Amino acid sequence: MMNPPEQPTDRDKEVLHQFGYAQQLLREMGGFSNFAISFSIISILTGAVTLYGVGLNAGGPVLMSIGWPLVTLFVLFVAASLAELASAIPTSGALYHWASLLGGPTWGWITAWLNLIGLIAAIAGIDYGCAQFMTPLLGLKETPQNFMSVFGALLLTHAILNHIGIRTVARLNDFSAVYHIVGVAVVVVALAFFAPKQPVSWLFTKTFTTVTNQPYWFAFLGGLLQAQWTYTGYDASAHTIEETKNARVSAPWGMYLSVVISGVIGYVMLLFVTLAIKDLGATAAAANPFIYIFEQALGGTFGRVVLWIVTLAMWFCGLSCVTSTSRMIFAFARDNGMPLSSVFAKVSRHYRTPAAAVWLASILSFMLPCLILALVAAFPKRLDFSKLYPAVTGISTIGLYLSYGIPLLLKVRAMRQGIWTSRANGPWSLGAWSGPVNVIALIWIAFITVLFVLPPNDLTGYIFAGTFLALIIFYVARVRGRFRGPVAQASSDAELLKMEAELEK
Amino acid sequence: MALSMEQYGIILGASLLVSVSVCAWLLGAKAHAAVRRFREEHHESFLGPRRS
Repeated sequence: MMNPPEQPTDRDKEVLHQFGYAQQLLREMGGFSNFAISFSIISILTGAVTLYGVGLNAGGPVLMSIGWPLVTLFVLFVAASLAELASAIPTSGALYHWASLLGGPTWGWITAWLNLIGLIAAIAGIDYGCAQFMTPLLGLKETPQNFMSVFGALLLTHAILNHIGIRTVARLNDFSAVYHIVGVAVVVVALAFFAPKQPVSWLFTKTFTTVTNQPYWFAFLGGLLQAQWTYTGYDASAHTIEETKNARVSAPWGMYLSVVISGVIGYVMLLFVTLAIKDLGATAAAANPFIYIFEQALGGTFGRVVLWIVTLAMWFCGLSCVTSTSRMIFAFARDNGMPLSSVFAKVSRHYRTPAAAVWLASILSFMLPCLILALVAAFPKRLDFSKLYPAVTGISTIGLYLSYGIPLLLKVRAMRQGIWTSRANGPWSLGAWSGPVNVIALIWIAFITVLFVLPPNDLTGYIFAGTFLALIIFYVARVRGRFRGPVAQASSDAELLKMEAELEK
Repeated sequence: MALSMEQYGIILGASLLVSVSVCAWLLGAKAHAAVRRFREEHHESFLGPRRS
């Protein structure tokens, strides 16, 4: 018998109504767009590039050839675990909403803030990294003031585009995914054909580190930050799930495949870049080892063209990250989870985007490097600006991965208690493998959380601990007992439909 | 016969690559099968312990 024709958007709305939410955001994104936003935020041309020097200094070529696939392997388990949850609970709040339903409002609140801290630090890391590449390409001097000016301008472009509309951003995200693949192809082809190369065995045997006060294996593990930070932000597929058609299938695939494809393409790129190193010591000592490799291998003009390609990829990455963060703020504010919630939960009637949330995400991201600059100015002898970029990316990694870990931990607990059964799963499910895969993901998250606050990343630990302590104080003083977790917007379908009709006017 | 450092490195790298590929494929295939099965069955959404 033939099945009746499917109407994914109506079904999506029906599922959203089950959770008590109206369809406020425009559901325009297809499966590819959903994949594209996560793929653009992972952005192998951003994380793997801006932290290339950190990885190379920590572990040398072996960190690229062994470290990258090692991290990819475990991130696959995390991504698959999150994809399952996105399929089961398809709302924009995602991690925060999952944790609230599984563990109660306190867990939801903590998860939301960890996720927000991670995302804000991610935008700051991406756009500041982009500014570091773009400033010399524009012919400007590499001073903190110029970096900040370019950084501010980049954020402004992202905020305006995200304010104007999901259609424009979705098109740019689609383009970004293709751009990243073509960009990596250009990098690889340029290096493969025009750069002198080391033998392949060099990749797997050349251990090197500039970290002198620790054993090599420990320095190697610390250098995994390069790959681990790259693999952040793929929760964007879940944050944009209320804007995705056939959401319960498309968004989990978007999340999972963005990691798989980034893993493959990123590995190929890193191998070719590393093979093009002429002088390992000089490269590691360069201010920006990635730029240095291209200057040495391809020369002035050609090298600059490739660096422009990489820099534009970072711009796309920042654009997608602002989209994802604004959706997270919107969802959290919709449930009265943050100060001035009524402002940040507003959706622009004209553009159907969470405009206030977009601007908040951009402004907070600008403030983070400002705070760091102020700290460096205040403590010039104790703080070194060069260590602060890894610190920002470390905060982003830990914040995001802890926010991934909490709902997973609560889900494993719910499975053990029999609260979460197979009937709770969405269409995208790992079935009997779910438990073991979730547990492996949790072990990895615990491992990296400890690893990335140990020296030489102890600055990350101090900043993160301070922020977390402030959050706990804020929770005890102002939030406890008042925050009730996800709040249904209406109690009946009729009311939700009325809300949707209001927006359509 | 003892393996050289170079051989160890290449074996380790190749093993990791195979592991990543196999895991990615297996997890994806499992999810794909679940999506197909889901179309034929009725499932409820998880609305929390109190509401489900």
